[in-house]
Amino acid sequence: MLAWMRWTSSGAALVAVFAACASMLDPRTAAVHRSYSDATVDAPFAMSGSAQSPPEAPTIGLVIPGSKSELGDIAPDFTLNDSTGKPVTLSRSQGKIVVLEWMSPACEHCRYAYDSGPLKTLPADMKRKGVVWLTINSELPDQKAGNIDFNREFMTKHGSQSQLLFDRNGEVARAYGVKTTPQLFVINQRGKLVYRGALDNAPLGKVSGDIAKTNYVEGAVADLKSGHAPLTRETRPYGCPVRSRQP
Amino acid sequence: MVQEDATQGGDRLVVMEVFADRSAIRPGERFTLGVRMKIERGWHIYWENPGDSGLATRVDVRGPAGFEIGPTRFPAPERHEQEGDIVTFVHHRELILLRDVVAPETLATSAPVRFEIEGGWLACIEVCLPGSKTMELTLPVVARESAAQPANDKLFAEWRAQLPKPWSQNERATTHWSSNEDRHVLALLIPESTEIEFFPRVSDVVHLKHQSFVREGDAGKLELEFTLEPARLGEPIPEHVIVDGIVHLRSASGDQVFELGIPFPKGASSTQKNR
Repeated sequence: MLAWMRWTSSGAALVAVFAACASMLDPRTAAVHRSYSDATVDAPFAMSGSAQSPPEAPTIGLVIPGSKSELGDIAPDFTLNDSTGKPVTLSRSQGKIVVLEWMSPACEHCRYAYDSGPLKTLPADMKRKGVVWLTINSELPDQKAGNIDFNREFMTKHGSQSQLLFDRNGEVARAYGVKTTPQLFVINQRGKLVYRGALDNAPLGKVSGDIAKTNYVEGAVADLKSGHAPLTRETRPYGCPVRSRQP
Repeated sequence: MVQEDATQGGDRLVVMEVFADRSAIRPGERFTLGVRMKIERGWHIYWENPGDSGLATRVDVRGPAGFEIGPTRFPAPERHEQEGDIVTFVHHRELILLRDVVAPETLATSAPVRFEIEGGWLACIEVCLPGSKTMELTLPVVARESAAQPANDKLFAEWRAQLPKPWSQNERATTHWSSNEDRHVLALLIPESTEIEFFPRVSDVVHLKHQSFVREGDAGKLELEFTLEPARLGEPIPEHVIVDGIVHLRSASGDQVFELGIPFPKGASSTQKNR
């Protein structure tokens, strides 16, 4: 079921506007945009403006159709199905650092990253450190790149331990402004978007010029683990254009 | 539709050739290496700023110690729009990349010099396939007193003509800055132009938010809206920042391409809001 939720000006209630019914969507996928703080109301995610909540607490991931989230905003919440049809909701990971990785198994840059690049081990390393890593495919469902079985085989072949989610109507990609694979986002423990861009500065493992290889996602997570915001907040993603379903 | 195939690779989608504008070089001499990339019909590869997606085409030149190798110079790209509001800057059919080289003053004439030239690209159509090729170019060295030994004159003349000209040669153009808090608008007014487009180079600090073209009488006016943001959290925005890119203008007398390197107005960096 697809629902748009709006935060009222009084801060007292959430108004859900049901924009589409479940039968119109791919049965293996659901995208529910709503408050990141909606799942449970515990300390860091309590609503601001209410008597119980701290003033700085993030409140709501409001997603307006066609809008794009910006750095420093609360990350738009979503629920997407994984390859077995199990729904996964971003806000369930509140309190943890979350990495969102847009991926297409038909993109050579993603293939390289999984075959012999950083994504061979990074998601598992991050998981050991308590980071939630969600891999998202927003490609057209009727193309090979968006085919669930093809994606599942790809992840199995690479022994990936991250959850693979399917954004069948491209709605989550649009909410995050995703146009490239691979493209990555880091969300801090308070649900804010704190990094977006490339995985690293080494497309296909090659760095241009005499500079050291830098993994931006690893750096952003390390910065958050050290208690400060990522020093590098945005980089230019490189790779293949995302071909997702358009409204 | 072309199906992706990992074994197919992008190597065969671009035919790369290398040239020099000298048949032999002299100590201290400046010369140019040219790389021609012939691109498979229908496919495209990317400009130095690929845009929303893609990957910049690169040419790495490795030469003997003491040679100064300049940056890669690109001709103007084409704007390529794809579904999903994806705008990229690309080259179709053929791309010529030039790199100027200066030989050391102390270069010995006893042995030829060898350059290794590696090209890398991402070729895209419905799918994207990366490719690369490494080639060698060997040039004999002659005495400083020898006459210059030009080569491939016609090719290089044609290729240099494709490169953007200095903005100062666009004599009738005028520019004007206006700022509103952290938004800075640069207006380019160019008489007799029917269309103007700006292609920004990659910058960590300068971000093009919007460009719009209007006709004002017989002139064309392009408005470029920029914001400035620090490259890394907590870093100051440099005091001297420039708008760096290429302006492609069309008029009844033909197309022209110019380099744009205009500084931001004084104090622009201090009006920025950190996000």
